[in-house]
Amino acid sequence: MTRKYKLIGLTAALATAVALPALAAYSLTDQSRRTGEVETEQTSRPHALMLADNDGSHGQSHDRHHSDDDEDDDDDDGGSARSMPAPAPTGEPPANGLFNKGSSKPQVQVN
Amino acid sequence: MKRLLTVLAMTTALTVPGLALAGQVTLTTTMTKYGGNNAYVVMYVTDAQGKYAGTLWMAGGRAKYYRHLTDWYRATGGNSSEISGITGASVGSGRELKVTLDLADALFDAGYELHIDSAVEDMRESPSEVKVPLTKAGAGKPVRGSRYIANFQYQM
Repeated sequence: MTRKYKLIGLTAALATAVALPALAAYSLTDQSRRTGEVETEQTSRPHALMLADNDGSHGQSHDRHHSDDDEDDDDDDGGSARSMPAPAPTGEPPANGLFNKGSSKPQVQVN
Repeated sequence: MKRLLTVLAMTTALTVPGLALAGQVTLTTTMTKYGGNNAYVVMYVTDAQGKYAGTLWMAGGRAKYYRHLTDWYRATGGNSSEISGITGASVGSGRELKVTLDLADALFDAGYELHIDSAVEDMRESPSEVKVPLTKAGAGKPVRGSRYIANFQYQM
């Protein structure tokens, strides 16, 4: 009887010894799989942003900056103003003798 | 006295709108469908001796591209004071740009010529693409461009 219990105890100990590391390994695998999912999500976001950045006038404007190699970059007509109507002139025409004195602001229309 | 005031009011009402319209000139530029980015277009005037007299309109706001408007740039050195208050956005392929300006009568029938330079990014420059004498008889008559401008006309 005692021997029978010893056998049962040994089997249980062996089973536990085998099962526990397996459970621990599964648990780790599962965790790393979850972590992997999070990482995938994190890496996929910038990718989506990059696509968004490349698909439109922003990108074109970027190209324009690179296509020119010099000088001032601060006077922007809007890059993406390609499809926008012309802005209203900001001041009076210059006094170059071509315009009437005290002439009204030029009127601009783009169709 | 009342009659005098009435006559004065009537003559004022009739003449003032006429005075306001005098010198109003509309420059209409129609672009070809060249298929590239927006074009930079500058309209300027030379006198009877062919000397640069002044700019009427600059379509395009980035100074760094002005050097591609070669004839205008040669005459002005790209001086921004030449285009202060007369600058707007560049013009797209196939679009029509209409600019109405209050121009001096002395510009017409006095040997002045209106020039248009144009340029498109990554495409060829087109100096003096349009060159038309400013005459009252020439108003409303379209002139063809050679590259990016389909036609141009001025109306008084």
